[in-house]
Amino acid sequence: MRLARLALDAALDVDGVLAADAGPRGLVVTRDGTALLRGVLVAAEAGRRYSVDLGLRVRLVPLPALAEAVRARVARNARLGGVGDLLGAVTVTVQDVVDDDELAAAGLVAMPAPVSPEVA
Amino acid sequence: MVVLRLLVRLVSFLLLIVLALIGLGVAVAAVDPAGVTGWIGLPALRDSVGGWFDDLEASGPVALASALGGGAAMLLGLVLLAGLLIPRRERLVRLDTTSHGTLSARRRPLAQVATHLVEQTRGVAQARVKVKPRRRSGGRLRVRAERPRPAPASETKAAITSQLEDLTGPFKLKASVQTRVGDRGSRVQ
Repeated sequence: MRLARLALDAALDVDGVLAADAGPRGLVVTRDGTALLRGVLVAAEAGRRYSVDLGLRVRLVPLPALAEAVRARVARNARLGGVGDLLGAVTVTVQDVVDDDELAAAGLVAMPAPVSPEVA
Repeated sequence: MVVLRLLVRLVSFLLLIVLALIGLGVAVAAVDPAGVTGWIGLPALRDSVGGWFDDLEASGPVALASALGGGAAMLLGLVLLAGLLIPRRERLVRLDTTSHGTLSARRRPLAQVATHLVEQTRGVAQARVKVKPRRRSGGRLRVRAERPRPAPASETKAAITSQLEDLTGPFKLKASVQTRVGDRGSRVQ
């Protein structure tokens, strides 16, 4: 759960990422009791590591560079948070792209992480 | 697809009820066979449907109706199978996979990015892009663009293909471009 929170915060810090998005069926979530992190799914993988799936709504930017920046930031945050050894593959899924016109029309700015209160 | 799934749920529910009733009938029949056959009137039923079976064997309206009914039942079976077997999850376009992870995208945002790029091409008035993911990685972009009458189709296609290289180049995406002369009212970039 800690890794999920760190990864989500890291992804939302990256320039070009607007918000986390749990996908059309709301499956990209991590649950811990009543708390729910939308847009991140952490699952155990081989070698005592955990894969991280991130569902993101992004601006119209080059996607490979964005994915690389997200991965680097997630790895950095995990390392600083003391869970770097647990981090496995980081999958970035672009759930939606918002161009500048849409942003301006909606008056949108980067949204905060859609997190239920008090997540460990 | 949503309708198919609802139909599968409804039919499954009804079939469960029918199955439960049949099970109940079998259980009762096991206890009192003579009573059950008499109660549902099997001898009378045999007499009443015997003539119908004779009509069914001969060619005529009854045989035609039963053939149509059989065909409809097969069609319903296929529909139910489709509702059950077609995967529920939307297939993502897997753009890039490395040892560090995967980059994938839903079809709609990818089509949106491609449309944006195509509409920046000189001479393109309007564009529509459909994305079809491949099973393992990459996919196909089907571009339909409108061009003004004087612009040759081959030049516009080449320009669009070149414009899309930022998207198709890094990933296993293949673009197929179709152009047509746009309406008079369409604006050209």
